[in-house]
Amino acid sequence: MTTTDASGAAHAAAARFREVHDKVKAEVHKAIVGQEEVIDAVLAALFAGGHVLLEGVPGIGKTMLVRAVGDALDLSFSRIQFTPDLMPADVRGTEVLVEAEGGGRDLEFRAGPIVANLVLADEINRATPKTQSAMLEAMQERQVTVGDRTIALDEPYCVMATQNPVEQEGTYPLPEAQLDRFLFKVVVGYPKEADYARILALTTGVDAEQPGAVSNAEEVLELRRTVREVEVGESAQEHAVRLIMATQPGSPYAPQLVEDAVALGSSPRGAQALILAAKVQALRAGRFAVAAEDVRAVAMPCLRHRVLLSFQGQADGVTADQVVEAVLAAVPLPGAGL
Amino acid sequence: MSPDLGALRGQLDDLAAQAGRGLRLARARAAGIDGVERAARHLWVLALLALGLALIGLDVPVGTLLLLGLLALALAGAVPAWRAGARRVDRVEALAVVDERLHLSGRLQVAGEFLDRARRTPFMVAALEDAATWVRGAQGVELVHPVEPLRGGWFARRLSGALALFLAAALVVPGPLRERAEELVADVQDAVADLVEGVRDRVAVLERDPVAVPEPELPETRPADAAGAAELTEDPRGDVSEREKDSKGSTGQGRSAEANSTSSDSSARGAPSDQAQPSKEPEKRPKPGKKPKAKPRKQDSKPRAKEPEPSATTTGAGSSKGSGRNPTASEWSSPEQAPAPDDAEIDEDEEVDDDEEEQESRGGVQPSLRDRRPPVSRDLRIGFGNRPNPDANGRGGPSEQKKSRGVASLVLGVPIPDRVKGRPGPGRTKVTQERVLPKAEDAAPRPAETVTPRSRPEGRLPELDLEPWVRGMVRDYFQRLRSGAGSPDPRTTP
Repeated sequence: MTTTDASGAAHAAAARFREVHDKVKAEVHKAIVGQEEVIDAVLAALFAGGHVLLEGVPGIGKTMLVRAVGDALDLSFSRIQFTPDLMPADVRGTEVLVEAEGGGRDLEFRAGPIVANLVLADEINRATPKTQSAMLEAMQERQVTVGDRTIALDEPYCVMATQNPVEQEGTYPLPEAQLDRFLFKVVVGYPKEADYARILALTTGVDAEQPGAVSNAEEVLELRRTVREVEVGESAQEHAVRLIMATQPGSPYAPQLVEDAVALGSSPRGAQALILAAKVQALRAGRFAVAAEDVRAVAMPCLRHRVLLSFQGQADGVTADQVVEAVLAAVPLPGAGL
Repeated sequence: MSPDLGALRGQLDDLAAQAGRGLRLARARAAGIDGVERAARHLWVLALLALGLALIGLDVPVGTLLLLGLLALALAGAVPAWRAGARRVDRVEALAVVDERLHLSGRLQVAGEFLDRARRTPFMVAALEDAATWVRGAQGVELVHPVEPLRGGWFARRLSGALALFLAAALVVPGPLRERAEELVADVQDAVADLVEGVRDRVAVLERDPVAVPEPELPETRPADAAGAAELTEDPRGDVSEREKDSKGSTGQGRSAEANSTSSDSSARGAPSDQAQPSKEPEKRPKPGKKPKAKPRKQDSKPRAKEPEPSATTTGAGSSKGSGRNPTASEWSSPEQAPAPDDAEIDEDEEVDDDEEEQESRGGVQPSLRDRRPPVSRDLRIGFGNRPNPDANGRGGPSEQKKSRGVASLVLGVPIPDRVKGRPGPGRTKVTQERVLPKAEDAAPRPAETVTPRSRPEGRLPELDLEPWVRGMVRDYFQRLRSGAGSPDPRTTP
C-alpha cells in the first residue's frame, strides 16, 4: 500500500487505534476467557463514545469484564450496585454536613459514584425508575445537576451497565429513553467448553494474573477522535438509514414481522449508533471508510434494544433479535444478488 | 503527494464497465429463463384448449396453434431478457457487485464515491489508496454472476406433455366421434321404448285381473303384538278363532277399555276377510322406532297361579272395582313390586317408553313408578358438610329428611322410600337452588408461635402472572376506561 503525505496521518491514526485496541483487548483477556464478541463490543462502545448494556445470566463474568476494562485503561472507576432502595442522591451525590475549620459546620457537596470515567452500573434494572433516571443526564449530556450545581463529567465517560434477564421479579425494566442511550446492548452467553479449563485455572489458583493499565484517558480520547474521522460512503450511509427505517412499522423497507410485532422502531439515535459503531468496525478491519457490511456487522447490538415489541409480538413470542434478523434479511447488502 | 486519481478512475471505470456487461448478461439470462419457465407452464393451457376443441368436433388448426405456442414460448423468454439486458448498470452498482463477488468489503464502491468528491480528507485519500491496491488485483479476475439455470428436466417434461397434447388434438378426427355418439343415442332410444312397452303390458294385465296383485308384505316390526305378528307372518290364514280367543282371554281381564280395544284390533287384524278394520290399524300402531309393549303378552304366556290383583297398570280397573283400600297403599305393598329382582325390572323398564308409562301412572297414586323418572338432585351439600341443614324443607337443596311430593306425600302413614333402587333413566334433571345468604363462621386464629421457619428450600418461585409492563398496560387501560374516555384502542395502548 502506498502511503502519501495526505493520507499519512490517517494511516498513523488507524494503526495507533489498532495497536491500542489490541493491547487493551489482550489485557482484558487476562481476566476474561473467551467472549471475543462481547469484549469487542465493549471496546467498540468505549472507543465510539457510547455506553454499553450487558445482559446475561449470573456468573458469566459481566462485572469482571467491566472491571478488567477499567483496569486496562487506567481510568477512574466506580461501581454502583443498583438496589430497589437506591436513591438518586446516592448516585449523583448530595450535600453533607461537615465540620468547618473554624469550629462551625458547613454543607459540602460530595459527588456520587456517577462522577468517574468508567461507571459500572451493576444490575441497573433493580433500581426504581426514579433512580434510573438519575443516569439519563449523565449518559446523554455528560453532566450531573444537583440542586443549583452542575458538574461536567470528565471525558472519557462511559457507563457500562449489567442486567439480569432471569430475575424479573423485583426488577424495573429500563424505560425506552434510557435504553436508547446505550450504544450497544450485548447479550453475554455461556462460555464455550474449551474456555472452561482456563476459566477454572484463572479463578481457582493462587496467583491470578490481573490486567494492568496499558492506556489512559488521553489515549482513549485520541482514539475516539480517530473513530470519528473515519469516512462513510454514501452507499453505507444509505444502507444504515434503510436498516433503521426497516425497524419502523409502516416504512417501505419494513418486513412483515416488523409490521406485525413491532410497536416502535429505532429512532435516529439508532442510526447514529450504527454509523459510529461501524466506524470502529472499519478501523478494526484495517479500512478507512465504512462499508455496508460494517453497518450490518454491528446492527444486532445496536438495534436489539431499540425495537419495542407490540403486545401481539410479545404474545407470539417474537424477540427483538428475530426482528433485527428479519430487518437484515429484508434490506440486502448492496451488490448482493443480481 | 496524492495517488494517481486519474489512473484510479480509469481503472474503476474499466472494472465497472466490465462488471456491468457481465451483470447485464446475467440479468438477461435470468430474466429469459424465468420467462421461458413461466410460458412453459401456460403452454399446457393452449394444448388442452386445442385438444378440447378437436374433441367437440371443431376443425382446429392444431399446427397453427402449436406454432403459436412455440412462438409465445420464445417471445416469453426473449422479451424479458432483452429488457433486462437493456437496463443500464451504473458505476456504483457495478462496483458494489465487484466488491461483493470478490469480497472487497466495499472498497471499490467507496473509492468510486470518494473520487467524485471535491474535497477529500486524509481518510478519504487513504481509502482511495487502499482501493487502488485492490483494483489492480480485481482487474484480471473474471466475475461470476450466479444465475439459476433452466430446469432442464422440468422444462422437457412440460414441453413434451404439451406437444403430446397437441399431437393428440391433431389425431382426433371429428367424424367417427359423431358416429359413435349417434349410435349411443339410438341404443338409448331403443331401450326406453322397450321399457315403456313392458310397463304398458303390465298395466293391461293388472286392469284385467286385479286379484292377481301380490299382497303387500307386512312390515317386519309390527308396532304391537310382536309375537302375534310373527305368527301371522308364518300363517296368515291360520286358525283365527283360536288366536282371537287367546287374545281376548289374555288381555280382556286385567286391562282397561283402551287395552281391550287394542286386543280386539289385533284379533280383527288377524281375520283377512274383515275389510273394515284395517283402516284403524295404523292408528293403533305405536310410533315406529319405539318398542311395542310386550308386558301383557308376557304375562299371558305365563300360567296364572292365582287371580291377579289389580295390577299397577290397570288404573281404571283398580279404582272402579272399589276394593276399599287406599290405592297408594295397595300399590306400594303389591307383591308384583316387592319380590321382583331390581335388575331385571330395571332392564325391562328401560325399554319402556316413558311418556306412555307416565300417562298410565299419572295422578300420584303410584309414587314408585313416578319416581322412576330421574330424581331431583338433592346432593347440594354446600356449606353444611355432614351436618343436617336446619333450613331443609324437602323442596330441593341440601336436605336429609326428604319428603316426597304430590298426593302421595299428603297421605299419612305411607312409607315412601327415599329413592328407587336402580339406575334412573336418562332425562332432564331439575335442580332447585335456594338463595341463601352466606353466614360468617368464626375461625380460631392461628397462634404465631406455631409458625416455624421453613425447613427446606422453597425452590424457584413462580413468576408473576403479569410482567411489569403488562401490569402497567392493564392499569392504564382501566384508568382510561373509568375516566369516561371510552374503550381505548388496545393497539395503541403501550
